[in-house]
Amino acid sequence: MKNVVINQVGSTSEFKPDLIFKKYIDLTRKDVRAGLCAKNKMKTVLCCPACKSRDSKKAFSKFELNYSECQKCGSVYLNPRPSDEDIRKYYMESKAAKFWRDTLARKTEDKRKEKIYEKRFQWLSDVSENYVPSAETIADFNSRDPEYMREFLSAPYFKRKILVNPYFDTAVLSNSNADANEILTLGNLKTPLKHRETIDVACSFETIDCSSDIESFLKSVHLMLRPDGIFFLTTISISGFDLQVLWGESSSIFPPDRINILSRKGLEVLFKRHGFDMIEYSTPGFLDLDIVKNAARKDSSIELPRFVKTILDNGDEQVYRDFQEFLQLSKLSSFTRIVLRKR
Amino acid sequence: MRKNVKTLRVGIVGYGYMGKIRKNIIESSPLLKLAGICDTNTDLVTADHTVKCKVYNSYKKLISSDIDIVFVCTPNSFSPQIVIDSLRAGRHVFCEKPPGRTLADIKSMVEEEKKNPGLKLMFGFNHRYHPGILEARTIVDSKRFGNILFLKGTYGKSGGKNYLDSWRNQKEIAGGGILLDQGIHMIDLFRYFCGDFNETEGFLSRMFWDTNVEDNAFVFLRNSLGQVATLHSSATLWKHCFKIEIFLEKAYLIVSGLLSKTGSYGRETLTIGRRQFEDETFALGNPREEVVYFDQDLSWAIEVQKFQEFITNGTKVDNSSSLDALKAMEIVELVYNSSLIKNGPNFTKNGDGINEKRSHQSGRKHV
Repeated sequence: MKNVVINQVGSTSEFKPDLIFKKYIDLTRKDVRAGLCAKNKMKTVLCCPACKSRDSKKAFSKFELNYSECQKCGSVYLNPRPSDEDIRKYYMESKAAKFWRDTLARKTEDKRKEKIYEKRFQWLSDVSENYVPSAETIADFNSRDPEYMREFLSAPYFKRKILVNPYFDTAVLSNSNADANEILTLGNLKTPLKHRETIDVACSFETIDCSSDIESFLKSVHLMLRPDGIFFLTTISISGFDLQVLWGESSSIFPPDRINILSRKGLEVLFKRHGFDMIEYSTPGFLDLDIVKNAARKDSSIELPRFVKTILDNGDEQVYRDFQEFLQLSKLSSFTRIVLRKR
Repeated sequence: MRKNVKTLRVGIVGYGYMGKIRKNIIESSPLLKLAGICDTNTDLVTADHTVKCKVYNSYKKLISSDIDIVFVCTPNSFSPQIVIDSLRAGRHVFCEKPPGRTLADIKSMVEEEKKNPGLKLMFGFNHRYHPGILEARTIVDSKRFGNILFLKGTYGKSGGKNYLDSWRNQKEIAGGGILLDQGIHMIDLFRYFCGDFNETEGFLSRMFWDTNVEDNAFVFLRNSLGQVATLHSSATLWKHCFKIEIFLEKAYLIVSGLLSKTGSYGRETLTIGRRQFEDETFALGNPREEVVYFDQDLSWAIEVQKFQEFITNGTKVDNSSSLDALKAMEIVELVYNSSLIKNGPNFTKNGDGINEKRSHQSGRKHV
């Protein structure tokens, strides 16, 4: 299995400007408490979504909702949780989701294009050329980011692109290559027969994080992929540095954007169970230390381990970079990218 | 599907370092069966309790037994005759690199191969199948970074207290020094990426080790497309080192380290750095790099599987073939014929007594 380390620099504020992100969190809290996660709508899950173990304990609360920690694989997950249908409606209709699309995503559009989308497309293209050089069709699953989807549809890779998207009205996307591309708005993510085993490459970025029923989602992707087809994913993992240090204080963890924060072990077990071989497991994140530093700066009640404080306080940029590189090398950054091959 | 594929019976000649590696690979293949091992020192073989097959003290007996394939894992001076005899006996042959001691050796093997067109002959250039090399080759073949401009290779050893005792550093048995022992792998990789070279220059040096072969070789190659490759093959790097740098029009690829049993060459990585373009202003000179870490060396298994497939499918050996061996050997011999081994600085000074300690052979003549 491959592990990729990338020397990239940046800061959290490029993607999450403080004030705008705070407003997004406040809106999310209100929408989640008032609608999405109203008590009568929530369902208790008995098993860890990754490894299926029933052995769990409370991890922490977010917006007064409980997260459980699996005692077998260490994954953390919202429990009880809303259904995928309710999450779909939330992302289509809530004020918070609209704010994310219209304000937060727009304000950070240039940085996202430069530091996320372009690198992502390069990754998709390079790895696909290596493993499925004959690939013509790629499908993206469940993105909630219209700007990304526009870029995806117009990127000069792959002959045919499919957007599988239950989250919002994709008619708003200008489809520059309408004949070749296809937009599937699948409310319940059931795979139409005609799409079975038709795609060479699948991708899904930070969507298992907000999927209430990961099992069904992975089954859908598996069904649509041709044998030996490859599946690209990104997610954040609870095994990563900033999440381990900040735990319940992390501003990255809140429902419904992150209802599954799986461990490395959990991710490995999950994909194996669903008939995928892992080609790459990398954590090429470059923001872990920055996230921890910002969290401690904004909230003085957060007490960091002394060693972490020492690294953050010593002011030596090289130590900072070396430590982040060590996290990548050891697969201990929270940002995780994975390449799977359908068995 | 596998039901119809015949299991091939294998014999190994030579049960040293490579013979043991081959035994493990053969035994892990479902389509190969280890039928016999030959070594002049049969005690060495029988002392290994994992050996369950018949043991021979004469390779002629082994190759006349009921086997399909012979793996030749002997020192260079013995390999050519064993290869030729095995082909004559109707066996497919896999021979470790280097393909003998001289160009004449490989030519004689090729001649015998031609007389037996139904038999397969392959050589052990396993570096082609290391994960970093395979991935680099896929990237190069995709042409997404343009054409190769030039290659730089460094391959070297740390030396060590047994260096002087090894047959690999004795001209009579090995035929040459570090260039023939290790450097030939890099030459093979250069050809793997750029095809044939038609210009060859080289320097041979004896920098430290007092043997009758070179302990450093510097080789410069150029092909008809103008692609240049430079190799430093060395026994005085004081650490095990493997690195091949591939510079293309739009990027560079660096394969560094080799996955091995001991990990002594360091973790195998492939660094991918994209050329910064004229309109990019930031971090000029320090491009974003991706470093791919590999954790599994399947090179031995892949090359043996390929060999088995060439036999089973009746297809031409198109990788690590006798032609590849011949072409690599031509370059080695050109360097050997065109360059005298020159001593490095202080090599002939006797003041510190180091030379006496290093000295392996009497009557040595320094150039």
